[in-house]
Amino acid sequence: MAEIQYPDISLWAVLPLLIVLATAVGALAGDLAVKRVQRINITLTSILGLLIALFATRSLEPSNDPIFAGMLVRDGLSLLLDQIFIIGAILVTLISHEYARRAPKQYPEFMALLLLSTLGMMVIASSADLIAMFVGIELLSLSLFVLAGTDKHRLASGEASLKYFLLGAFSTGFLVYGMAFIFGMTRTTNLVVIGGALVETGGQATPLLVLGFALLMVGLGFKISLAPFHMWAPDVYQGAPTPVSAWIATGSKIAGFIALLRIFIWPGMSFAPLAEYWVDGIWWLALITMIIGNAGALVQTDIKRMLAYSSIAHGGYLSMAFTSHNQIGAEAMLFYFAAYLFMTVGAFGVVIIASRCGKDCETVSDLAGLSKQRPYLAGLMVVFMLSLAGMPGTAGFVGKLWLFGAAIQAQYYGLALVGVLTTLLSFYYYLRVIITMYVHEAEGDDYFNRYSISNGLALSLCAAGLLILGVFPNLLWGAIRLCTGAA
Amino acid sequence: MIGLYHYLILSGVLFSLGVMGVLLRRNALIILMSVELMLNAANLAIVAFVRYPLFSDAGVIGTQDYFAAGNGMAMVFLIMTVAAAEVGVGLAIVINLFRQKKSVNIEAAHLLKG
Repeated sequence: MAEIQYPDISLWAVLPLLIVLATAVGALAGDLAVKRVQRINITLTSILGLLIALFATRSLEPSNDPIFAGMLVRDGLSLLLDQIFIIGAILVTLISHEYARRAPKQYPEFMALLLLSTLGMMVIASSADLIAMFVGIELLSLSLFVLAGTDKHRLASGEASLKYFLLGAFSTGFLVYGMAFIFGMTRTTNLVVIGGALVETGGQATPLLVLGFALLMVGLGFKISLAPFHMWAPDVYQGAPTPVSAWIATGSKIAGFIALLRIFIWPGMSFAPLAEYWVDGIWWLALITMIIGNAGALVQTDIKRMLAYSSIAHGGYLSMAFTSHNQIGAEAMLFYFAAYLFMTVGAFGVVIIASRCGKDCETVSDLAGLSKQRPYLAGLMVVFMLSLAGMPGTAGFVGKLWLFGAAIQAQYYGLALVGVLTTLLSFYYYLRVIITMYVHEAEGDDYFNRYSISNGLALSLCAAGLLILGVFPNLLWGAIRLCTGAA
Repeated sequence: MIGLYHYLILSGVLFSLGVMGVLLRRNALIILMSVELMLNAANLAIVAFVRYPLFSDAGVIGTQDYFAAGNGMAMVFLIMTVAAAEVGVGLAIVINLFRQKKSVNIEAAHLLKG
């Protein structure tokens, strides 16, 4: 009888994922066990769990050996991204705490789904196999579909959830069909095996494999809202609860780019040697996305829609670096993930708390007079807007500089030029927010509501992160070099 | 002789039907069914690729991995599971729409645009 070979189950290496899972289950179980669970307890438990997971991640040593029968790999990239995702989840938890006052009964479920979506992102970041990646993407997407609809009293929330679900499921179809062709043409779903074979043979793609690439890019393009697959994003961001919009805009987008990075350009375990077959497609996507994202943001009056188009535009800049498929491009993307997380969560966080007398902040003009009544909040918003625009001194500038540098090094001058021009254009709509806050007078006598400590803390952390990374980018750059240099 | 390409063409037809269903139909439940059709087209393609590993002609990467067939089968099972989970979530969302609008037509969801 043949001997059964047991796969290497290294539970220790996936400890952070298990902790996040346990916290999610704990949030649900706590809801069942305790009759009336306090909102603050849920928040504190989740943050505690996430912090433990963060420390567990920091204590792990990166290793390039696949674990779980080749399904996962805990290399420097996955450990770095685990930390980014966990920090993002902590920030989103902090800005959700106050928002959840509207539907306190659903808060435990909300938190559990938020943590499960974080788990999905961490699985994507660690996956060395298309199967694991697919499961991670679906765990993330299914949690987000429900999260988008948690604000049951608002019609818009249910509608956002419906649109997100239909488009998300549609894109899953493309993703899976693309994976089917990649499996058929390579005889494996394992990215390490594929990468190894390609390095040996150099490799040549068949038409069906190229079709697989194209379908995969359409599927992931929906998930990260690249134009022309971006139609859902403004509607969903506008309708979903604002903390969820922030999480879709940051976590889900970063996770989608990581999936692309893992499949297409990560050295040694991807289709990088076949770059000539997929690079043209993503070149066009990057170009169209930068133009449509920025042009769309120019004409929006609704602030959440404006931020949605802005996030589409930033997806365009990221895909520009992705198109370059060189080392500096990958490093620039990793740096930009952190910067983008801080500035986008921060901007949505300000939108959450800039409400007056039960009226949410919906349009840009609702921010008028913020600087007089809440000067600190207005100051934070200035940091976020300038960083999104790419003002020197903020992390957004450093990140963009590297993104453009990657495109120039890869000799995509046209893309870099379009990137710079659209960035200049973007100053208009970011500065419009600042001018509204500082120059325009508020209409009526309604004062802005007080905001809680948790929101203030989250936003201060975001702004501090942006300024520190803007002045001392080497703090993060060193860690990034470590994980790309090792691969 | 029925071979790999027959199955691939069938799966392509099923996939296209699914895509057209999503794009053209306005009933949320029919759209859900069309999405299932797309996922099952992918399943059919994978199963066909596992059964007929005969494409050594063109410059394929062609790794000699004995787990390959198992990998494909595992993928099919996971896709089926995920499809079921997706229906679970999707029906809940559609019921939510029906409660609000008394209709499962996606034209009823028209609040957000701009």
